[in-house]
Amino acid sequence: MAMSTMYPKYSTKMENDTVIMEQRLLKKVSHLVLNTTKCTGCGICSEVCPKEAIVLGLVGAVRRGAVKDEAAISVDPAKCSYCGVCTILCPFDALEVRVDGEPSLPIKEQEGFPEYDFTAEIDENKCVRCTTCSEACPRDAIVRDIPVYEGEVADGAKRQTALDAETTLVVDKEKCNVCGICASLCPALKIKRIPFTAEKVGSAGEVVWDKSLCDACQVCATACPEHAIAVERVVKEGSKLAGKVTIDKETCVTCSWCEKVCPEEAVTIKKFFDGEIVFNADKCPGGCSTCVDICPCNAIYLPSPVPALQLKKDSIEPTIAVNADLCILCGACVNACPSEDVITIRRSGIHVKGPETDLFKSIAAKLCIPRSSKIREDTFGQVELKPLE
Amino acid sequence: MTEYIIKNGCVVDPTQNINAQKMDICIKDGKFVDKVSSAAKVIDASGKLVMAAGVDIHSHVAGPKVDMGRLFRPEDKLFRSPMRGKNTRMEMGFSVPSTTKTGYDYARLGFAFAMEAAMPPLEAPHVHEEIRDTPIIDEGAMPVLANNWFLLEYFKNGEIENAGAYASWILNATRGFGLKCVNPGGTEAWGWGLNCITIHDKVPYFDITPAEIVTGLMATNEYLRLPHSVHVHANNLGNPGNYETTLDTLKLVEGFSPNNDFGREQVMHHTHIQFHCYGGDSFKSDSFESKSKEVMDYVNSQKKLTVDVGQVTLDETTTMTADGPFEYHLTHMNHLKWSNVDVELETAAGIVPFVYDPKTFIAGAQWAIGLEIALFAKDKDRCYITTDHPNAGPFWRYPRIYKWLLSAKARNDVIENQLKYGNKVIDRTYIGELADKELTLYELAQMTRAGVAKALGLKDMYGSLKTGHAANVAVYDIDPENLPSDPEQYEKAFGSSFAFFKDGILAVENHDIVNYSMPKKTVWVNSIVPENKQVERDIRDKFLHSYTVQLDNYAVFDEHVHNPYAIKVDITQ
Ligand code: SF4
Repeated sequence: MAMSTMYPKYSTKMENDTVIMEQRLLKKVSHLVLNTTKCTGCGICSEVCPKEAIVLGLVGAVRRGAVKDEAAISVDPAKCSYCGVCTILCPFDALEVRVDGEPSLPIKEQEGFPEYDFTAEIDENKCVRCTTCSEACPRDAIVRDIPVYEGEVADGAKRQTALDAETTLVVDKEKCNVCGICASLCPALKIKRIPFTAEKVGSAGEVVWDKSLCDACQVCATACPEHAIAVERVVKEGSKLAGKVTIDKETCVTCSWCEKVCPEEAVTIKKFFDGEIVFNADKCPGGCSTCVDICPCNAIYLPSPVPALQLKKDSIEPTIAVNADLCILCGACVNACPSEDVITIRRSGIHVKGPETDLFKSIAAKLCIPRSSKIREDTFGQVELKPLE
Repeated sequence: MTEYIIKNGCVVDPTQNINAQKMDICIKDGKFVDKVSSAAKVIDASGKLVMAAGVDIHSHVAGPKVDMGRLFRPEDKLFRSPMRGKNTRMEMGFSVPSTTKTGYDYARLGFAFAMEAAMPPLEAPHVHEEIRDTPIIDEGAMPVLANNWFLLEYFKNGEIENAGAYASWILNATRGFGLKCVNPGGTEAWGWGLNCITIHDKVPYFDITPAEIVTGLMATNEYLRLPHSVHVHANNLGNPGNYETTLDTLKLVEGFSPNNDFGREQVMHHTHIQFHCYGGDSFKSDSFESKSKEVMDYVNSQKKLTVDVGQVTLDETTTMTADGPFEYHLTHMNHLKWSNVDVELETAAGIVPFVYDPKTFIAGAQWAIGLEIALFAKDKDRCYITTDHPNAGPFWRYPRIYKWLLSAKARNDVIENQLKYGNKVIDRTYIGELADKELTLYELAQMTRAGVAKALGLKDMYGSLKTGHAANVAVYDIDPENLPSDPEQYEKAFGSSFAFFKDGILAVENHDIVNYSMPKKTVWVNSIVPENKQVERDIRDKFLHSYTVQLDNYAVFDEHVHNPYAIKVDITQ
């Protein structure tokens, strides 16, 4: 008797950056682990959960750090079936199901379930290893496997090693009077002097050049009072920095910032959601900017004021705007927005690979319900959206 | 009650065509009467000039910008404040006198009324508190409206009835007298650090031009049938070559006619026009030139215009105007301290000390231009003597200006002995051409009394000695039948009236202030218009969204206005 009241046992606990939901059976223990640093409050998990075990809370406040010890979502450990649909469909890799301590996706193993299909590639031939995409990426998904040079850190790789080039330095021995100026200027040059002796007073010796330290900077050639040094560098056709820049597909959310900023057009991104996002700025009260702060893709912005000289009645900047090209239709902004009808999201398609089971189809239909936020919700403390159409 | 008889004075009163006629002036119970009893107190005015009390159409005497001038110029008081007198309170300040000094000095000059030229509507209580503390003289104050957000919007949409309803509400809320226009559009542009230089420069956001604002204000003014006309300080003040902007602005009157029951004939009063009559393209003496003739030719031909001079008095003074960008420009020219205030939704102001140094060419030229305007004016009923106090000089220098105008000798003396570049000034201005022109006392009375009162729509209250009018009268130590040979006598006599009555009360007797506690008035216009729901809604909306004060606290409270005297203008009748 006692046994039946004790099992299954459910609990939730928060440890640093994780929230762990637990179902303990007599022999088996299942966990759903939420990484709060990765969770953006997009709410896809709550929409896709077959058991309706996940609800959204104070998305804006949590994501802005105004509320501590709370996550953007909360999962009822008793309702959860530890199936892993949320894990598969979380675009931010914030959820994980573990069975007996091991990562496990029972739904994939047992029934089959598709996963997102998207493209995030950098054409190595076009990529020149510049720094643009890695700085622009809002998710730190760019893996820049390039040597660190001295321009970035003082003890980085020498800059002369960055180019694939052939450098030559020729000293005209006839002209060189072994004055020592070149060596005093440059670490790549040394003077091998024949020791001074009273027997034969004079300056003699030779200049020794360390190719690996030479920048071909020409300072020695210019400074040489006898014009005895000639430096030449021939850079190999198509030379570029060593290494490779790639996109970490686990982290990438297909916002396409990298694609838009790449100066070489080397990136191809194909998103996992089709659809549209529309901002109706007239309804935004201004002075909020929650959506801007929480957008995982930095796609939302406060338009810059028009300079006074160009200012006209109809040229006042809108209160809020989105660059739809950068939006992944995750829905975090709709969840966080305290107004009604400012932001509308309409997903029209989900790109997946793997078996499109009935379960998946019903989930996809839910994800495609157009939505906006609402001011007055029925249940206190939990996000409720306004389905449209 | 009290009766007075001013005996044997030589009377000059243009309102009755009286030009230097020996006659008695009788006062009873505050009014001019035909006869008084033998019990009347006698003021012996034989050998003296008797004129209606003076009326000042434009003077910065009360309010936030004047006070800022007083505050940030303590040196203006140093060694320049007379000791407290027998009957008077402390008097402080040279160019920006304290309220008490302001009232006493006007009384000494024989003035009964001064119009505060620029009242920011939001700051109206400040203006009224200072009016209360200014003794003897009656005052009015004009709310500044040419950069007001409501009006810019109504004018843009061509909604004159709405503009009228709003302006009427403002007059009532601020206990204001008339519609003042300062650098139309430019002061609003200054909110963004910009300006409107010509009458066609658009105001940022509001997308309206100064020309549209000025015509909008004139249409509104005549729609409301106000006693005074629109009172304009045009764009581009103080810049070489600005006379073209001035002419463009003046010509805007052409589509309008006066509409009022006060005998006012103009539709625009252009103030301190001296600052708006400049030619050339720099302040250098080989470029800068007077264009007073060109401007006054138009003024003379256009009955619908009145002007005042803004005469430079060659003093160290303080400039203060609602023309924010101009003051900023000025501080960059003279590198003296600058103060600026931008008033939400309404206007702005700037303050900079300025020395009109007779050793500079430009001060000399400005001095000449002012006098030219007064001398060129054909119809002296339409041109008034002011200094835009204290911008071109303090108002108590009026007697010195009268001297320059009444005596060619006095002018010559300045050119020869005071101005360093007298010859250059003669070269670049018209003052030489006018070398033997002199005003008469009759003309002076038109330019300081009769004409002014008419332009303000106050001809039944001030500027006349007619029987039945309020007894505001001044007696000066000048004998019109035997004019002084020494022009200094003019300055002395007009600067210290022998006797001065304000509303029948003897305020100055034998050159001394003897009474300053008479009930001075605050004259304002109570404008009544048809109910206007749209404007009521707009006002509520703007106060809710844009003002930092509440609508309920905006209007001046009744108890905040000192002896209000309302001129009722009801256009619903
Ligand atoms: S759109 Fe919504 S979340 Fe974004 S700033 Fe406006 S009210 Fe705030």
